[in-house]
Amino acid sequence: MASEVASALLFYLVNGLIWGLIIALIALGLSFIFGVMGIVNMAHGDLYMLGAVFAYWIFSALGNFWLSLLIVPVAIGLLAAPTERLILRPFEGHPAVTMIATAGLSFILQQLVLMTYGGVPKELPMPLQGSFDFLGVAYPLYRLFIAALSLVIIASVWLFLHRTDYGILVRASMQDKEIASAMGINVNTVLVFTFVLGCVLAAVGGVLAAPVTQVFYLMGNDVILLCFIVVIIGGLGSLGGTLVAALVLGGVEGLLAYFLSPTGARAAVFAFMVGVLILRPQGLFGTQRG
Amino acid sequence: MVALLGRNGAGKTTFLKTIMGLVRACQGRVILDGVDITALPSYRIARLGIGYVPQGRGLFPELTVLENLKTGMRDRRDKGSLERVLDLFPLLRDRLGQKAGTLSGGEQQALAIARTLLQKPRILLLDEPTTGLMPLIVERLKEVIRELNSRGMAILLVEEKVPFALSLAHRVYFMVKGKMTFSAPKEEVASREDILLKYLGVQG
Repeated sequence: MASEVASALLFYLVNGLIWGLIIALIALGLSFIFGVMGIVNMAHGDLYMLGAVFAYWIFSALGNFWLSLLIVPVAIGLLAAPTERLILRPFEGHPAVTMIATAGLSFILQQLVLMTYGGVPKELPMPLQGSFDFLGVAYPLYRLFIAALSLVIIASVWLFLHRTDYGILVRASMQDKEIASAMGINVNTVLVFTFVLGCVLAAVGGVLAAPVTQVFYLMGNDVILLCFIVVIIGGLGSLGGTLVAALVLGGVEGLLAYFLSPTGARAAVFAFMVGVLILRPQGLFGTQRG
Repeated sequence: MVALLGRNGAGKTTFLKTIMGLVRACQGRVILDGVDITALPSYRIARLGIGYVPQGRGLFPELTVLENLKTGMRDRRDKGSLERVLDLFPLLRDRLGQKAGTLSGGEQQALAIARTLLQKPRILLLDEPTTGLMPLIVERLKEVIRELNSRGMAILLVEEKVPFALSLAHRVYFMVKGKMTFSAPKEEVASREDILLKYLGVQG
């Protein structure tokens, strides 16, 4: 009996951690865009939704899920670059206006998907069959693939930021755009790049999640809320904090889902966020501002 | 080398920022080599050869010393330029992996100038470079600025320490309420106390 409970808890915990990794991917993009551009992207969850919807379309049209991991980042990149140039840049330095603009963008994306994809949630078959025996728990292979790929992507982003010359320019722009520009750095290019990268991370999260969740036009709403919690708890602009917070929240929510209803588990996560913010208003890994 | 002097709030820093394109000019133009650069974005002005060391150093505190230096380099594989700049500021050589925000005031100023030198500017704008520095460091800074100028680099120095500015500049400009009101060779400024009294309210 005790070992059954332990196995079930382990299953829920691993489930939560893997969900946490997907959230980390998406939240990393959100944190990245906020850190460099100072923009709270209200449409970020909808890029996750678009990634999942595109994956569904690609699977329906070509019968191959894996191609979406190649096609979606390119497609989202092509959408994100003009969005930064045409919708966000004109309002640079006006965070409230960019919040409203991205909220408008969120509605537009949702309604466009509703018009073309429909309002009925759809499911994708598991692209990887089989399971993996993990401490006596049979765990779906595809979920482990999600974990592995998410970790590879997150590590790649970290390596890019800390080990490449362009990463240095991005981090410099994150700290002081004016001085970066005076150093000869074309900050506008950095901003476009950052926005595209942040959006692509969200969309890849959507592609990975598509086979393990229901794909529909409002699926970004739940996720964006969780991402905000993760970014706030992790500390605004702290990429390492974002990852840790996503894993902690994913794990806690996963474990609580065994004891509580999903709604109860989500409420507990909110309570956790409130607690963290009371004790550390700057988040777990953020630095005090002002 | 010219020095720009003026009382607090006269507009000296704004003047430098306007040259760099960080503040948009309400009127007037900034001309470089006969070309109007007033409306250019600051990264293009920097690439045209104007280097800017801002007041307060303007470092990226979370980046290491080496990373800060790399932000100033157009060709980041140009090890030769990096070595030459480190020869000029040897104290930075042992600090390359250290975060810029943890350096002492003198080291931060050295890094700010070194980073700008890696842009290979023809004109260097220095805004209050001696602020918060110990006298020994100020003397070393003076030597470096003099050496840069002797190598052919034009320098525009905004400075509150009048003796420091007069010891370096060939010509001195005075700014009052955003306008250049007077200029003279440094010998004339140094020999006439009334000028400093009139434009700065201080005695030489």
